[in-house]
Amino acid sequence: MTMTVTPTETTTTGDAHLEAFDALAPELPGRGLEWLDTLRHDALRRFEDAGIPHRGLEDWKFTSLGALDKHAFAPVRTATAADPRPEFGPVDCAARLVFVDGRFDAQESDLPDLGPGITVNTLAAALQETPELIKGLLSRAGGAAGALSDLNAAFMADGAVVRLDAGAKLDQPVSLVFLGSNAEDGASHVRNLITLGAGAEAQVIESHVDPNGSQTAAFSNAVTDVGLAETAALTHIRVQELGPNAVHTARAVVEIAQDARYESFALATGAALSRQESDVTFTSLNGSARLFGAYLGRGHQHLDHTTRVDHAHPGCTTEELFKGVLDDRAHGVFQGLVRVAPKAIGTDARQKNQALLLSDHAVADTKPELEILADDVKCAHGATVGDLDTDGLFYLMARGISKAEARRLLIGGFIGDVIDRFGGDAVVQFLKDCVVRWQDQTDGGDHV
Amino acid sequence: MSTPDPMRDTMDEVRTLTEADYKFGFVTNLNADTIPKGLSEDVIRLISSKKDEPAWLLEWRLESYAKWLDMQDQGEPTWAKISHPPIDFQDIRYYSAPKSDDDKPKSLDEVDPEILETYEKLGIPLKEQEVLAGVAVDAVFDSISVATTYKAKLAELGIIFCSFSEAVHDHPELVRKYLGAVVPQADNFYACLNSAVFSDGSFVFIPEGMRCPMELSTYFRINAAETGQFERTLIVAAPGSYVSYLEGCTAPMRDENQLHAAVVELIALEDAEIKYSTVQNWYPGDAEGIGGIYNFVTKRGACRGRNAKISWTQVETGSAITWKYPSVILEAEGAVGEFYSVAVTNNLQQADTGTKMIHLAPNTSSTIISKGISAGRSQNTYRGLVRVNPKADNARNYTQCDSLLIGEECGGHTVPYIQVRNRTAKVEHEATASKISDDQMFYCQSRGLEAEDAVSLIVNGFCKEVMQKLPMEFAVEAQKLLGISLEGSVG
Amino acid sequence: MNILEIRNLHAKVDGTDILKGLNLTLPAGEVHAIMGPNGSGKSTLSYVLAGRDGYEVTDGDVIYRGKDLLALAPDQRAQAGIFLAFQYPVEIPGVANAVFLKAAVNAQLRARGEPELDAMDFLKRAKGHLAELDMDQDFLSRPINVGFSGGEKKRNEVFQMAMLVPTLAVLDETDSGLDIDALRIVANGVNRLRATNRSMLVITHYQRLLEHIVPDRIHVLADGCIVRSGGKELALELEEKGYAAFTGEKSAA
Repeated sequence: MTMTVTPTETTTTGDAHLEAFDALAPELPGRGLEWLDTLRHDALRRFEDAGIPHRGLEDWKFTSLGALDKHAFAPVRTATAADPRPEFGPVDCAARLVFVDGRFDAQESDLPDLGPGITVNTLAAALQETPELIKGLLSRAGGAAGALSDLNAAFMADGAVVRLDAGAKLDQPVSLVFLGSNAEDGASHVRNLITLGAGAEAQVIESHVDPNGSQTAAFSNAVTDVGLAETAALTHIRVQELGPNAVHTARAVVEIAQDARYESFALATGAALSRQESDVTFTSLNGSARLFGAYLGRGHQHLDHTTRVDHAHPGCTTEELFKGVLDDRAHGVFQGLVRVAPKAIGTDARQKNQALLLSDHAVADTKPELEILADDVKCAHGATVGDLDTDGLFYLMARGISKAEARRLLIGGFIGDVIDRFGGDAVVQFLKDCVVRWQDQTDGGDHV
Repeated sequence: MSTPDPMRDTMDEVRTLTEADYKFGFVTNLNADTIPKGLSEDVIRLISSKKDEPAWLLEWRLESYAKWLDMQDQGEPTWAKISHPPIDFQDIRYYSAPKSDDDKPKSLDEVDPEILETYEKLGIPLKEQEVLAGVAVDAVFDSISVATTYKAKLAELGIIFCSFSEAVHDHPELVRKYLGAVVPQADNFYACLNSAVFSDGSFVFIPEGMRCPMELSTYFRINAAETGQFERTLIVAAPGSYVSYLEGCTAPMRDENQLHAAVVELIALEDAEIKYSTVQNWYPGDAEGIGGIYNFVTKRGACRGRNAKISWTQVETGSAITWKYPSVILEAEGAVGEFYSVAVTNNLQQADTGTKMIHLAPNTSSTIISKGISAGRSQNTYRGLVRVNPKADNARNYTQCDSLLIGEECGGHTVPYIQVRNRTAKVEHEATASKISDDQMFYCQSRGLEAEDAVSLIVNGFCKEVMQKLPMEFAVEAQKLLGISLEGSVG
Repeated sequence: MNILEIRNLHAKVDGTDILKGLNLTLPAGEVHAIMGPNGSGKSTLSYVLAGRDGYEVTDGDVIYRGKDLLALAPDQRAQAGIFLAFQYPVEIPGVANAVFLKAAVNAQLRARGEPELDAMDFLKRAKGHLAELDMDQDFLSRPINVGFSGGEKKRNEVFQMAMLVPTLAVLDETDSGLDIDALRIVANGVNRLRATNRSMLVITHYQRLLEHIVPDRIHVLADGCIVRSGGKELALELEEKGYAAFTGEKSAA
């Protein structure tokens, strides 16, 4: 399937976005829904007031979005199908939705009937079928602050809606694949909504990938809103395996109700510039969040993981583990803020970040932050930065394993460890395969 | 005692004169040594002339002032987690003379009994209490002779230890060489202000190979009562030398001046070691946080020679607002930087303190141990930076920050920045936050200790690693100080 | 033929001289014990033989199977058939024992020009040895030494030795931290590997291990060189008199 690509011509000013919006609006899903039009317009205005985040903002101290200014990144009007196919994800899925440049590709997707109480469809379809419901979900998420989220709200072209009613359970994961095309300098904004009713359980794998060997410089900006009702449980895997020139920002905004569980793994191996954010709020007691992640960088990649967890209620637990491997001139950033409100007694929050620097020019920046206003809590964080463990290296070599292979084993083990700790059989293998692909490319390819 | 006050009459005279003379620049030939509030180039010229400073130093001050004015246009820094009403820089008196003996209490009987009670609790010997309370000098005969003996002995060894003002006159070449060498004039807003209007401070020079035989604490304590608000201290350790310097005082110090913006520069040359300890208990304000002192300090040490070592140890229990980051720049191979800190905040105090360890050369190492204790409705933040530059091969850092929260209304925050640009570095950072364990409390109480004493014991245990770094004579007092600072926080 | 000849070996660590003219000859098929007080250089000797960074040879030769050992990198030495059982085996999270060992076994086979093992063959071989050492199958999927007790780590070392079939095995204080039962299992594992074309250096502090792994010869290492050599009775003599009787003696071994 081929379609033509005609990105609008733009300059890099705010007006450019306004022009692009006006041109694009007739094609965006939900047009004609007054509340949605208002939402989009308000968001666009907020974005224009605030502008693209810059390094003067504390939150963006280590990461520059200069690339967004440099390229026009106009929203892509129509999409080209991608060839050759990259890895999509686990073969056994309950459902698979494929989007190319943020537009739904029905042919490549697989949306069976999943039974009562479970709805998986596109945002566009949901806006037609259940607009009131979507209105409710989007409004709740309207508080997601930040210029990039506003940009997303204004331009969101499509996305996935995964809804489980109370008690509904999915045994196999739902796979959401966001594929880049060859639309040079294009921008795509996708919005996903995941809502689990009381006691519901699901796994969602969100992959942002480019065709093999793609060199396209495109901007993808994703926002996924997650709402978990009491005792619901969601495993949310976010994988970024884009081409080496891509720019990617993604944010998960999560609300966890009483006794609900959110387990997330964010893996970044591609893109020139990638920032994966998690904003987690406990809306009641005894919720739990496990935020895990891994970033593997080489060349001139800049990979940023930023998490914010708000313990607004008592008895909640957070466990965070992020590991990074940085080679060549790659730059890895981890920022983790844990906020504990005065009444959030019994909070247990632990965070760890470990970065491995493999070359003389690799850079690691880490800022684990604790803001604690309650006393009866247990909070801890740890961070380490260093090279491969020389004892480990010697142990492997003393068993006959060559230095190159020993390094590969140690790096694989370093990241394998965080994947193992996260757990979940199907997911673990899928994630490890991504890591192996990165290692193959790093060891085999030419990279500065 | 109602004698006519010659001081007051002269002050009126002065005010008339100076207000008139502002248009014309210099004010000369004053009998009295106070000037009105406010900051201007004239005030700076006045300060410099009162101290009889050489032209180069006046120039240095004026340059700083010009830079500060530029900074002022951009506004005071606001990134720290502290809040205070804007400071009116024109409402500060930038120069005041030492009190004349007439104004001082004649004996401890004239001193506020509450202050005396604190001295008792801290176990300060009577004679020292007199000095601290500012009892007129000629009534404290012993102290003067003690001070004079020490100074003479040091001079014999080639050690220079005097006030900054004296150093400007007696050792101008040294001062000129090292002033601003670690904290340049425009380094930050308050350091810049200090560079323009600094009053006095200490100057220490330890000659090559010399190990200073006494802790420069004992001597300094005797003069603690005279500390100015824009203090400037410079310590230089020549190759192979060693000095341990203690600044401050466990006794609560009041000062009519609210803003304290000091600058301390340390320079350690090859194989030299400087140990700088601070015990700070400036008046924290009343239970509603009114009237306390703002302690905005820039302290930085540079390890300029191979294997140089600089250690900062601080016990901060006072001030309404504490804002300081004693730092070490590890510029030469094998340099070592250390930071040990206990910061206690109670009632409505705010502290945003920490350190910066900058690794620039190979084989450097740094250790950071920070213990923050918050109680009442206070906010206590550790803010630190560990930076390893590309050339800093084999850099090693270990950081441990622990927060202890007492009560439900206080806050303990940790904001570390770790920036590593060399792969042979090993950087490890750990932080924990918790409250005093119920088990520990119960254990102490079941052995007969009252709640407050139990807290004091546990808190001291929490801080032990840091307290052990203090010069011995102060460790004991500092421990008591911790207990006193947390009074009223439990139960 | 001699598997190992060490001639006048001098080595330093962190700038300090540790080995000061060590001489040792190890014929094929024999098990020699090296005993000595703390600080005598026992571990240094094992690290020098294995080729660890930070251990600088300042004089002397080490000839292994007629070739200069010191010229080889650690992995090359292992591929040539040298195995060091560490005193403190390191933990390597995230790398499964099976993955690691298969890579090691195949590296050696490759170096010798022999066909590599596939997963099935490897597993078959592994299961046999695991059973001998009373170790659980699931051990293979656990990350290397993570969460292992001292005894488990030592058994892991012996298991690896059985899988890698070395020509020269150096056992660095293999008995430290083991209780009686673990000690017996480990010793049996080592004894099973005795062969006419294999030699072993058993480094130990205490005589106890040598009751289970009976050596052909014992060398006393003190202050950086061998001060006395003798038969297995030497162990009892040491037990009675302690090391003090031997330090201060210098011999040409």
